[in-house]
Amino acid sequence: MNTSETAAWKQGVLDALPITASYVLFGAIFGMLSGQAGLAAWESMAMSLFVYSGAAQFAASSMIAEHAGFWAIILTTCLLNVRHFLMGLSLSPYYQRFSPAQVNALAFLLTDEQYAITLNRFRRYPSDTSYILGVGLSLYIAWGAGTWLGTAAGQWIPDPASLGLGFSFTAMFVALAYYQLSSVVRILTFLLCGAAAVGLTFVLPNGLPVLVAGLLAFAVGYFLPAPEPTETTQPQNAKEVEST
Amino acid sequence: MSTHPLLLYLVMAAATYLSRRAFLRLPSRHFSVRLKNGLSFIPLGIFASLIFPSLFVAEGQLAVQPLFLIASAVCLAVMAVSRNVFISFGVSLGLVVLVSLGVIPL
Repeated sequence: MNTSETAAWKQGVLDALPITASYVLFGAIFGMLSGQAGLAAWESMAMSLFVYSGAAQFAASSMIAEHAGFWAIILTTCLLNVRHFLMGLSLSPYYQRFSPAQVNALAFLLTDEQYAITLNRFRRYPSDTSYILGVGLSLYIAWGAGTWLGTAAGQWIPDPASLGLGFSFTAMFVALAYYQLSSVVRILTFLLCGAAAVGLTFVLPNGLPVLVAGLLAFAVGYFLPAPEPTETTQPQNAKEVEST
Repeated sequence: MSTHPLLLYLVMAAATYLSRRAFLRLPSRHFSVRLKNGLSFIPLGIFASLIFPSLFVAEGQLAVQPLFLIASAVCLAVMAVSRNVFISFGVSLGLVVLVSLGVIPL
């Protein structure tokens, strides 16, 4: 790893730090709840290390507790995961420069939070694997470590709702969404998609509102009369790169 | 559930991985200017759908959560001034925690 790769890796770890802490806490809550649902410690750890998807894991452990069937759990997992299709699609221009083997490996680390943090970085810097690995591995290790903590010491974990810590993911998404709100059209699209997502929450299974809202935003961007080519264009020289 | 748990986790893992990998690297010939513009709007929809339900849905009901709304507005305001994600995240989350603990009345 050369100097610039090391710097990018460290920046990724640093940028992910607030969410890394949240991942430890919520991983611990998963470890505790999955234990209460009847999963052995090794099962909770296996789920966190293999599946690595909070939404799917919380849903699955709850369904296991209710003795749901194998395929019902798999179907729920698939429904919760459809949002990844659009996240992958919107990241695709930034992953063009990576080899298929690198993309295959990095795909495992794609989560909502990793998506938000790396997308924000790529607005200003060329995409690079070191940065993605810095963010992705931090969050992955935090999730695994948190799960282990939850299975080992669940009774000492604070209730995040009573402390307001459930807001941590929303706070990060709001801060990162700021950079997306660069024109009146984009702000209106954001509000429209937000309203649609709230409405769809009551009629669609969990996970699908994200897909529909993403498709709605895509349609607005696609059918706009004057394309805005800047967002998916990577900065090509140092002059375009701002400091963080 | 009679299936071995490890098989369940492996199939869940495969389903999750495939959804993440599916569209992550499409051939560049597919990217017209219009398509790129459409793709640049997708994050708006994804961010909106990750944010708004946590502000306006509580326990399966439509509900305005004033603390989260104020904290989100504070977060955006701090971003507008500081352009610093860490500070904005810290100030807005700190506000929610302090109100939740009763240190700051709402």
